[in-house]
Amino acid sequence: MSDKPKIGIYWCSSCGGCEEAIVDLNEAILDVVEAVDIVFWPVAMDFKYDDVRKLKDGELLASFINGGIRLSEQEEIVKLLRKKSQLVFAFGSCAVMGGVPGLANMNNRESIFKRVYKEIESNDNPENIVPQTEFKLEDKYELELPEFYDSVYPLDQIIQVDYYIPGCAPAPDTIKDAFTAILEGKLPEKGSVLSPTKSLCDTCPRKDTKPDKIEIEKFVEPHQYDKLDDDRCFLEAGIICMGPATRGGCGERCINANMPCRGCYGPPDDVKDQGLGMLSALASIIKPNKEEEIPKVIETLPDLIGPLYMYGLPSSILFRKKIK
Amino acid sequence: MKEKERLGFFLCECSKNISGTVDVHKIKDELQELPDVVTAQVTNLYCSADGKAEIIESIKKNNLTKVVIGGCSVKQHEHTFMKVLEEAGLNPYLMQLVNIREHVAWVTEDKEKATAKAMALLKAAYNRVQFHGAFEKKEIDANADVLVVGGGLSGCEAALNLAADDRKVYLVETQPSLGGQATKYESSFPDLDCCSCMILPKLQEVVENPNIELLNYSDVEEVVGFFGNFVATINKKAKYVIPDKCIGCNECLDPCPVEVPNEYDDFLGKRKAIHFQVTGATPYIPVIDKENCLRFKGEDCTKCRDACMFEAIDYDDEDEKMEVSVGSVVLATGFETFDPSLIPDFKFSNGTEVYTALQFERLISNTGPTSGKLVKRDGSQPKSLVMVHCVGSRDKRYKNYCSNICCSVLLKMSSQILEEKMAEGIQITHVYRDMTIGSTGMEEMYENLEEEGVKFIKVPNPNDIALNSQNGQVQITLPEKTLNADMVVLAAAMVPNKKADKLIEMLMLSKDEEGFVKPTHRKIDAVSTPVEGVYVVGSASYPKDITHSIIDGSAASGKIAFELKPGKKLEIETLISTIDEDKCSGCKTCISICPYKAIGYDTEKGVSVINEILCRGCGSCVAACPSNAITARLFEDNTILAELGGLL
Amino acid sequence: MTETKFEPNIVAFVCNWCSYGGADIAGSMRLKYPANVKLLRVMCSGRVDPEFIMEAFRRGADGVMVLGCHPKDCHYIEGNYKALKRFNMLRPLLDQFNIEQDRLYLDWVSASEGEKFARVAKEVNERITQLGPLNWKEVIGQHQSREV
Repeated sequence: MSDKPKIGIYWCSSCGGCEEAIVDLNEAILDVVEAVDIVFWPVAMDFKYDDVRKLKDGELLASFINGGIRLSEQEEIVKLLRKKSQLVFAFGSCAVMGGVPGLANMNNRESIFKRVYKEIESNDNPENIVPQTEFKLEDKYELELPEFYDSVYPLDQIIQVDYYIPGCAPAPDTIKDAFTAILEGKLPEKGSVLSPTKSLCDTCPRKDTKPDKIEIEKFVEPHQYDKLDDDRCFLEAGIICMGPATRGGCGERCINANMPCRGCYGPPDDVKDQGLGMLSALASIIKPNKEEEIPKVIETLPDLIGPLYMYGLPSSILFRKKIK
Repeated sequence: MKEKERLGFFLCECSKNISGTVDVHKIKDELQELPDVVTAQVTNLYCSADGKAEIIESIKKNNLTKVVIGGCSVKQHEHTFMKVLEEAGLNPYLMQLVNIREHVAWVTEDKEKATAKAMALLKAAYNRVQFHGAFEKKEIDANADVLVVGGGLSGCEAALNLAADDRKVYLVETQPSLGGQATKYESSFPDLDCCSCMILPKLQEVVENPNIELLNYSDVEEVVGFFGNFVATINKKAKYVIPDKCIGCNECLDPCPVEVPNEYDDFLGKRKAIHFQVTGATPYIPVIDKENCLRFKGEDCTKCRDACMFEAIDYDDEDEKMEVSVGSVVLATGFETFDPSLIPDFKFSNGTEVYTALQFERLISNTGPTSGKLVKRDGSQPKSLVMVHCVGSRDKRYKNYCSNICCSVLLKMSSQILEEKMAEGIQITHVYRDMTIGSTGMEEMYENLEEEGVKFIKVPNPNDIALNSQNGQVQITLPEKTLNADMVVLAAAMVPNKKADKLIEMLMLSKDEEGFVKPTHRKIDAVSTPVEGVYVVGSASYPKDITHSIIDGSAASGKIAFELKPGKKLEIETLISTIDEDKCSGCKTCISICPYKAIGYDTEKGVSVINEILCRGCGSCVAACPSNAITARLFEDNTILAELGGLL
Repeated sequence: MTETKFEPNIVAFVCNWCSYGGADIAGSMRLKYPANVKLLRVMCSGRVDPEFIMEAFRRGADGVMVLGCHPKDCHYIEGNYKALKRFNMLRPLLDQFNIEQDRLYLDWVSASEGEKFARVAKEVNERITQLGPLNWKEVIGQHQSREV
């Protein structure tokens, strides 16, 4: 066996886009493969959990884990990987903050099962069977299945995370920079997010044309706005752009596609709650100063969780909706 | 590693005021057990001399780094204890005073609950002071000179009060003459005293004051900077008359072949291209109006220069720009009058026998177009005169406010006409809505006029009447009757001076709903503005009479004299907010919301920057910053959250 | 098991210039209000970050009050309007989290309104008592143990 450092890649509650992002590194992935041995990557190669269990503690230089934690199986494996890895990287928005699947924290297991297995019109489930943790097959095989949790958790609420690589998915440069830092031993202080802390506005191509004073008279959805110039700040038009409350480093992919930032890189270092950071900024620049007119502006925004917490609900202060 | 804190608690019994309800000794015992607490002490009265000495001694003896005092309101004794810390050699901000008297002992019945609450508040303070930093008071150099914009009465008053050997005042007036609108009045209410007799000496004082640099016929083009350090660019318009040579002999006026309507008389009379703005213009030097002078239309006319015996005419004169550095700015830009032609049923136009009150004032003024003779346009004396109040005022369609002085002005004019017997047997009729006359003497004038036969007809809204002019007569249609009059006078509303808009915007001042400059507070701080170092006086903030305009000028000068003393540094607020430029992305949210316009944008670095002189530390921007790049001293996020943790 | 009456945990953010003073006057007048209303002084109600309010709920507050100067009387001109705007935006968000909007209360209390301060404290306490405990620590469950 080679003496190259070993790494593991694992996915939890995610869409697979993060694995795609790794593959999308194109030639750069060859350098990575050259430098390390990937000993565990269920999506791409055939491995068994037992292969990991057989590793010595700390034998892996690093594990890259994407996806939030939603199943007991995921919890079990990430705890295992934690033991076997010197460094754990939360890879992608879901592992860092819960991500889009984290919006499920607006529901719980019961309501999700009810909707998904019992109510959806296209279902064919006359016996209303929902996932069970234990099942006896043909009365003789006792099967144990993972438990579906009430909430989705970001990785660092389950295990200690050493570094964070944000993004949905992380931009190629973010990934490359992270790999380079690992291989060259230039990682920053543990707990760091491997992307600039300054928010997206810092590098936004529309920064120079943003006026000093912006006041919001009503909120507008991008599709409701047909006059959007290519160089005008979205907020100026009343479109929620999460850029001010989102760390940069993504390459302004959405802005360049004439779409506002949705916040996938998560909040800057000192912001506890990305959604509240943005809420406070947005509320502060609402134009009317009359008590009766302020709610009218806010009414033009039918949903707050979607725009403010598209990626970060499980890492927000309140974490989830209360289900009565 | 950070050195360990050494904390001291001082719990005041305030006689029985606190200890009667809160078990301070029990609390003391518990606090003593907290990590890093070196001492917890109880005394009867920490604000007494003995109490203060005890704290000082303890700070020194125990080498305390942070202090928490359980006592009364910060309003009452925060200053006291900050001084105590200073005396003990500790930075005064390394302290928290917890109000366990007003907020606990005095408002809680149950002793156990009161004790528990006091404990929670003190633990919150314990959490909080860990984050307290030491802050030093800061002073900056400040320029004590003043820029006054507007040479009306309020501006002149401010300039005169402020001009001193060690303080220079730059007084900028867009017109050639000082005095503003008041110079148009022959006499003033309520005493019918002669306006120019009151005003002219004051204006002359301005001209002669060596510490006032009078920049008449000039405009402020730009103001940059902030309290203590403004720089203004002023354009001195070409006058074509050299002030140092001209003695005001008038010889140049007659030869001028050009005659144009005189704007000063609201276009009632005529003037020459070279002219004095006012008969008693101050300074008494004419200017050439470039728009109308033949020379500037390509003709080779030199008639005024030929007539001048002092070689004071210079056709090559040019606009000249100058920069002045000042510490504060007084905005005295005055008012304009509402244009009555905006009310369709008034069919107001020049050439009829319908006049605005200001035009009429010129008509009955000795220095006006008829030299004070009350005559119609055809030269005949009017037999009937109708005065309409509230024109454009107090009406949502036009201006929603009362212009304050119009009723008094119309009564004054009526009095003046009757007293000076300007027109034999004239019938004066007022059409009004409410008689709004505040100052003393006006009520008496009103009663006298009624006795002398002046009629007062009350209507629901004078803006709803109709005026029709025909053959030098005016028909006035009221709700219940129709009047005919030889002349009609309209008390047009006083409206914000549009010419000041650019300057108001440059100074980043806000306007109220009617367009007047918004002071910091309408009642308790009516001449200050939210932009520190900028003051607003006279009718720029709302319609005022002469008295109140002059009071404003005095008030602003008092504030400036107090705040910016020549040669003295300016002490700035310590507990301000600061931006960490390594965290700021330049999203500009803070710039939009700062009520003091204290935040600017550094284009080069692409970050927002707080001007520490203008910031007052409210923390609105700190809460709004989506990147948490701004911190408020002593009210940082971590500090507040730590305190919160203690409370819960 | 004896049933003790639920006493809510209420934090009141008060501005330095008006509401803190209002609470002082309530004290001077010896007006009584529930001891579970605890004050946290900030310079201006405009300093109150929505984050503080949510942290308060997360860490065990059953109700949060934000008290500032009356409209047009703000010591910092319009910080209270900033508070009002954030409050208006937080309410629907609380609703989406299934937190009763009444658990967050905003009002104006001037430096002379001791009576109003005490009254508001009592009223809010009563309202929150009726709503019962929020107990967000239970809502967030086992893994969520982050404490600051």
